Amino acid sequence: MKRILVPSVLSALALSGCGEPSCLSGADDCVVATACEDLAFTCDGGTTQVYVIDDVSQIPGGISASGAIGDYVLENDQVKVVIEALDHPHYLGISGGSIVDMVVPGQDHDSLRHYWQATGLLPFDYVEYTELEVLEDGDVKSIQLHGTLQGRPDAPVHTRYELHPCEPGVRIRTEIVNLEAEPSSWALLDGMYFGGRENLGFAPFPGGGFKFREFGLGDLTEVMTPVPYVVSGMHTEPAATYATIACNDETVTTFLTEEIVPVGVSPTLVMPRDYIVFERFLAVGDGSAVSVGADLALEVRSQLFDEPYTELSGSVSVPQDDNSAVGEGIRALVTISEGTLAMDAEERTPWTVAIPDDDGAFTVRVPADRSYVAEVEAMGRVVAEAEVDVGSSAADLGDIELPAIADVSLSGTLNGADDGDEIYLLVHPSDDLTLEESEGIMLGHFESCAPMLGHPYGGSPACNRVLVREGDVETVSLVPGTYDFFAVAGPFSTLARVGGVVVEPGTAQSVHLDLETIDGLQPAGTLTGDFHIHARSSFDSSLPDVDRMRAVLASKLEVMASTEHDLVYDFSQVAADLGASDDIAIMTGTESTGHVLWYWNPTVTYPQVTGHWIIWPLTYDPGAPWRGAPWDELVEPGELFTRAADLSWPADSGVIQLNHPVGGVQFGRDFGWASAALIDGNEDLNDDDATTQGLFSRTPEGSDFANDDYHVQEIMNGTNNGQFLQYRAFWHYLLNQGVLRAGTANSDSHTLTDNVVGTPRTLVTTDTTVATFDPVTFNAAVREGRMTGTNGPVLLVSTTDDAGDTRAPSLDIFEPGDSAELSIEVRAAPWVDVQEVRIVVNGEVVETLTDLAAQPDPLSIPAAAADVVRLQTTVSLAGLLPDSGDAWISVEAGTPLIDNADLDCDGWPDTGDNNEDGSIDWRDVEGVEEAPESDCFAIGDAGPLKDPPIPEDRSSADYFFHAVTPHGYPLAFTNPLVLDLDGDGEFTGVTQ
Amino acid sequence: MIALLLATALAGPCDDTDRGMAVGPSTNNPRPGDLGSGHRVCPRSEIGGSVSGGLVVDGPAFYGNIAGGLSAQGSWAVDDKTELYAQFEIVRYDSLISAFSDSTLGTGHTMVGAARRLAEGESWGFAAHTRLVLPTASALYKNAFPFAADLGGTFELRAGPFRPHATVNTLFSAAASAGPADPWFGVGGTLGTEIRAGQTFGVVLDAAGTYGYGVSGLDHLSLEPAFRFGFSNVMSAELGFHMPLAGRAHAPLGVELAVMGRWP
Repeated sequence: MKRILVPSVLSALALSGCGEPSCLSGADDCVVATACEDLAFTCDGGTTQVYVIDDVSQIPGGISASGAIGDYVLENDQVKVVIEALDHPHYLGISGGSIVDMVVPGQDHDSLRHYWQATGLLPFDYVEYTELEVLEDGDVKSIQLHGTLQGRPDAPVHTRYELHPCEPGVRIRTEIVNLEAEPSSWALLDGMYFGGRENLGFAPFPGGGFKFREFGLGDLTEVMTPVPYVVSGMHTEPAATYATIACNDETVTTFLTEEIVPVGVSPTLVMPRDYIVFERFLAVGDGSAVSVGADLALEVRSQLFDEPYTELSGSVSVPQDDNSAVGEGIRALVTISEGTLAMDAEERTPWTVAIPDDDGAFTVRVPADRSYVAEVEAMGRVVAEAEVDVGSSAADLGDIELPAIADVSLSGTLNGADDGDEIYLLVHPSDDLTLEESEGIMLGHFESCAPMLGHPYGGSPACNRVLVREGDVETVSLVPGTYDFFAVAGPFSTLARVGGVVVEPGTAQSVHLDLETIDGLQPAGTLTGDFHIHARSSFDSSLPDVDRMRAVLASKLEVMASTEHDLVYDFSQVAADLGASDDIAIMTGTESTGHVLWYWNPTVTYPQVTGHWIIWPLTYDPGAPWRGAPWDELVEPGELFTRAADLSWPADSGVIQLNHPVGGVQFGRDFGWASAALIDGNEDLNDDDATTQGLFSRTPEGSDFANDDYHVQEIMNGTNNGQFLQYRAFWHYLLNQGVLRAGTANSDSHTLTDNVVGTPRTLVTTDTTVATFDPVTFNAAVREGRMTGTNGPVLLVSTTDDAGDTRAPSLDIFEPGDSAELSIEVRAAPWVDVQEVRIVVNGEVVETLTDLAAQPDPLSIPAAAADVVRLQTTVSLAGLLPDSGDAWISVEAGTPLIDNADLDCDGWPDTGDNNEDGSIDWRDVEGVEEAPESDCFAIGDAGPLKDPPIPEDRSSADYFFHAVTPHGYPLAFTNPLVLDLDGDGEFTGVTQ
Repeated sequence: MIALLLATALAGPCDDTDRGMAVGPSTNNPRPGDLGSGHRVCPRSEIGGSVSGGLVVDGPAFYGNIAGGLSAQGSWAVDDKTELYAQFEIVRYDSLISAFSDSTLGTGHTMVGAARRLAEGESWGFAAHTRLVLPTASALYKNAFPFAADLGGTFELRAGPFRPHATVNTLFSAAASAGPADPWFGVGGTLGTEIRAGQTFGVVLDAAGTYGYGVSGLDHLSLEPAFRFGFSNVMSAELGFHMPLAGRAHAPLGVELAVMGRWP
């Protein structure tokens, strides 16, 4: 009976007195009212146009560029905005209709990953647009969208993006009506998605600026803060900066996170039939400084709310004996906060951040008639403050002198030649005092670095990492102190170190490092690959493509799978531009990364995503949505594989990799499939789709693949192999269950800082070579598990089958010979410590070999190939294997593993002896003060894992390893030898 | 059974044995102004107040709703068959708890109504009633202001300690708004009985339901028990509950305590 025809008398009553022509009443031919009517920008020759992208050249460039053929463009003389076609949703959007790119026309600096609408965090809070219209009214061009909240037809939403000539941004008006029978609490928001290593949100409020407030899901409302505007700055170049200003309210409400910056209307209790309207202006300016956006925001607010602003100028300078120059954010960032030096910093309100130009000068807009403090950050540390009173006319802050720093020119060679090899250098403090004085953190975010040479997520130099091309010199600026310089070219090279370099303020000096490739270390017939690599195309990376490729080349990887999150990118042209096409085989793939929470797991009541999966090869299509990758939302793994096969993924020869299968969540999204599905390592898998153990192999409806139709799994992920024990436990569990999947080792590198690309890596035994690279042959070896994984040690393991043929690790099932032996050889570069070899049978370490050759001088150069051999031995298989049933064997090498236990009883280790009392129990669990009532912690409540200690002696061999393998310890593993001991011709698992 | 009840019927539907105690079907539904509730057959002149609260908890949907109010209400027996009545929520608090929560505090709704007994026998009566609910909840509505009305009838029977009653209602509401008026129509009813234990205590066992009001099917089917207390010929109190059994997902669990003073 609901909503039958409106009686005419009631219509007259209902509409009288309000009279706001728009789409609130849901009329079929409605036009959403103009937003921000009080705005008026003028210019000469302003133009507007609206069109559909039909050529790749129309897609803006930039770190976050995502537009595709078929998307819509609103463009004037100041701004170009790309709005997704309805069938091109991205990231957290469940339909198209959101902004994916926004630039100043002619600039390839798109830094806006995604800008979409929602009223909350849950699936039914997301806006789903179903209708898109182009509106043209003279010079005013608009895109209008109609839809509803997801699955809620009685929550209609209407949005209009509207572009006027001369305006440096787009006007947006969104209307949502509650036609449901129950009240809702809606925070009508634009979600600005930045992913984690890209833009940072900035908002003026006391103690705010870039400072985020800690919060959990239960106190989101409390951290929502009303602010005059929100700016997002990129902080690496080329970049655009964005500002959002509300038009129908004097504030917008926001909370800041590194992944998402929501901007919108405060949470509002909306009764049935009531509605909310959000009008805003989204502005864009060229450059990475917050001041670019803040200047625009203050201009908009002056027009809308008659708020006066004025200009504040100033400069920073370097001491006379300092050779360094200003002009980049790393050398000087000036935060202007309302308040006085006498005030606590938490009471000041940051309004803008300037990056001084090459002469050290800066000019920013600030609200008039207030007092301000200028805080200068250099090399990630606050180094100076100044105070100024500002009236209604332009003011001058004066000059602020920066502390002197020093220059060090870096160079290096590989194999003595000057043939353009790339060299990867790391700089570390030589002592604790230098560590303390050189450690910095940009803007209070990103990673802490000691020393801070550049934006940790930008191009070289980044954090304490530098790329140097043979024959070139790279000059970096350092805070005075004493430093050690390291270089390495992957696990098959020597380690170079120049230690104890004293850097005096205002000085310049040079450091040179020479590397050698070590003969005989890489096994013949292998290629080294890294199948998990990101760069700027991923939502959580700002690393320029050229620096990504330079780092890959410096690591001496031979095969890389380009695996950007959610999209495909091909580095072939980048490699060609570097003259390195012959040095690296490139396969294009994608890392599917679920963003949209949905209800797929029948064993839980909350929405989830299904973890991360890598799929290669996929054809790179520069004009396609997601550049040729499948849309990866709202699907179980089997459906995802189907979508990939429907595009360009060859199901018969391609590879699907399960990434980091066990782990937590990242901004509320599970990144591990096994953890998301709540697979219990203490229980057998089954075929019941309604159980956690059945989800593993379930075939989703309409899918051509089952969820377990993947080929390989990461056993080592990241240079920090802290979660190795969990990934290994899941892999061993599957092998024991008879689910044969190969293991890989990948860096998962996103930047020059987080993980060292190629560390760890996978050694693939294959007939193909880089020069004649055949991806089908190579991928066949990957699928068959003819691989070992390593961050240093090299393992060569084999045995013989019942026919006397040699069998190396793979997923091949064979009967071992009666007197078969396990042959083990371990090789390692001098800087890699190998203390033990572990023989793992059916998931248990059955023998540990410790009689390895001693580690030589870590900086030595082996004179002969034999010098890299640490162990050559054989072990009788008979003594290793169980009395009955089949078996599998994996061999590991490295330093001893640290004990960790499974305190939440899900089958995967989660907690170490963190209090170092000799036992692992509840006392080791972070934040727990008393013994739990249950024997098991709730899943996810235990932890953390404990890693081997970080070496403290900066002259020790293990410190040298850590210096080039941050937070890693020497480790290698082989894929299994799968033994059909009962002779039935198959392997169906083992009994535990 | 009916014969037994009729056999034990008292002198008339509106005899004076009720002292100050509330009579008729319960009025504990959580809609503003008791919209859709029954109304007593026998006019009274009363004045009093009530406090009420409602609660919805839906963990899986991350949805919670807490509402509470303090109302002043009264009625005037125009004659022995006609009554005018009104209610004004002096204070109303609403809190919607989800990922993003919000609360409002302000004045609440205003209700005016009228009832007239149209038929009666020695032990039964039938009255028609109507209400108009006005959107005076100052903090609750931002842009759309719903008006609501109902029209219904109540049948009451007196049979010793048992006082069965039944109500049918038609409900309507629509918003004054720049958005859609979104009229809601529905039908509802109450069926139950009051059981008297002397002149100072009674228990009401009612079941109530509404169909089509704001939803396409069953809005709610609820139990609405109440306890009635008579303190004197003037003062009475009623503690009532609204316990949804079926219908839309977020029908609230409600409670209301009313204290009334009656005069001839």
